[in-house]
Amino acid sequence: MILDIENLRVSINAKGTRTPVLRGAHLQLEQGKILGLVGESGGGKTMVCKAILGVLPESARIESGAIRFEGRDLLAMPARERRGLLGRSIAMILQNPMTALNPVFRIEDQMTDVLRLHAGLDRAQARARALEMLTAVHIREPERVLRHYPHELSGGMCQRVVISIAFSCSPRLIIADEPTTALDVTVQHQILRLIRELQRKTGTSVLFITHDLGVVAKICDSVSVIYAGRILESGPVERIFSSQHHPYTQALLDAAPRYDRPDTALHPVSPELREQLAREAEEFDRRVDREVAHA
Amino acid sequence: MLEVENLHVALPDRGNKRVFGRPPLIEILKGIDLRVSAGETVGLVGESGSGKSTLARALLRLYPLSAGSIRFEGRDITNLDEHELRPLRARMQIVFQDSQSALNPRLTIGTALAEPFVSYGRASDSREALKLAAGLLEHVGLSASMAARYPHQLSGGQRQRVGIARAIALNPALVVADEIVSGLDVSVQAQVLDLLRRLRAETGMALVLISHDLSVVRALCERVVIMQHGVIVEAGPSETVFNSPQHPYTRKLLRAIPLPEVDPAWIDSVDIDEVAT
Repeated sequence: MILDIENLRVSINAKGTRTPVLRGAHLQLEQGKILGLVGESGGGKTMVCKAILGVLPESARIESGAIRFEGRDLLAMPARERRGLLGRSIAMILQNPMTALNPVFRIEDQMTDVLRLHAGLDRAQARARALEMLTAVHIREPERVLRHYPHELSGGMCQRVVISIAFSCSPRLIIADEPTTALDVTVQHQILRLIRELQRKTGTSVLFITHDLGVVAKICDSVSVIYAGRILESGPVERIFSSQHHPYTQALLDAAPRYDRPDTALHPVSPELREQLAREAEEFDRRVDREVAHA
Repeated sequence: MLEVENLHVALPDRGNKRVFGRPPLIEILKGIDLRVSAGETVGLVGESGSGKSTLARALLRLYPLSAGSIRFEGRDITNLDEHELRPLRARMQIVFQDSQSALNPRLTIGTALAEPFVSYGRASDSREALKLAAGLLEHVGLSASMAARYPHQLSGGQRQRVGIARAIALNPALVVADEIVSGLDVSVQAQVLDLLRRLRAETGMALVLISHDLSVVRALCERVVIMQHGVIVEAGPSETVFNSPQHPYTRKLLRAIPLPEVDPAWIDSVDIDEVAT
């Protein structure tokens, strides 16, 4: 298990009120696999990602739980050591490739900085590795791309660069937060294949955050569905996309149009289901409260 | 109702600014032919850079045309000036993708919705206009009390409903919806699509739905038009285009959609090599 999140509780405390954002979330990512974390906005996907990276907002408090990376709890680790993992052992692919890259530096500087800092390469070695990585993401003229600024490249090209940076230090875990949401559907297809190809080649594990169950079905080995800060179900994609799944997962599937089923009516997630899930979440909260008190 | 022939639009190339003088024009639309009948829903599909948003605006004469003609409700509007277009503006409306920037942040929802009634003389005073605005909110499934709120106090889905409400305020014959459900959660998207279906049935308006999502288009449109690089590469009844796509680009677009079914072969079915940009 490369990543094992256990009973993670996070709340936002603002103006004297406590709002739970993660209510005892469990998440398990096996070595060398892609785990999809799927749910609607506000469900807690990004909070999980921020908690792993240690970049939660100041108003957030981790109340309990553990985030074990390769068996060691990140939350119990000295800050310095934890920071040392980022970029090197744990890398990140963000949603918007245009903002993930610094607009005032050439691609070459942004790629080689990472390699010199995290992998200890010298300038020439870093440049060679950068070229190698750009070739690995199937960029045709890597030399030319190195000279460019981000704004001179298309969104799809920028995302290739971001992916090549993420993989360049041979991380053991990559967190990809909606990496294809901002892209055209054909570019998304290419980027998904690219991530899958590099992931297979390097054996890196990926936590893939998305709102799109279609993307999950195509790229992930397993999936966890999150709603209101609670993981509703987890399992291999074969099971979740067969008939046995949580009513909320079904509701998400029923809400999305499919071009191959034009006559199927679209149903938003019903208010009754949302109420039920909210009730369950509160109940779950109280149970975790009792467990914490007991312990 | 809407007939577009050989439409060409060229816009200033902002990536190629000059120190002096105007930037050179770059041709975005290269001869578009399009017909929309009264009450019809047409889907306009293409990727970024295909010119679909430019076409959306050009249809409503929001961009200068470099060639071609547009007829709307039997009248040639190609060369009408703003003054002559004004009465027609009530009949042709647009809903924008970014609902946040489409609404004035300083106006309450009620005031924003009351505006068209006043400026087109559909209400005798502002009180009546506000009353009409409240009715409009309920018509799109929001509570009339939303009128007192400001745009930033609404969720994305609610704001998009307001955008739709504003567009249908004056009973237009044509509404152009530019990517109005992208960026919304699937559940909210289902609600907005459902609202569009209902309004279309109730008002008989024609709808040009612009989207990069073929599944969204399939759910709503009788006819679909596929665009690439400023030209139409395929057009026809949705059923025909989706069941037997003729153009390779259409086939590529369809194949690229990830359906929620496990299919390990899908991911490798794309040419991964960088396309020339």
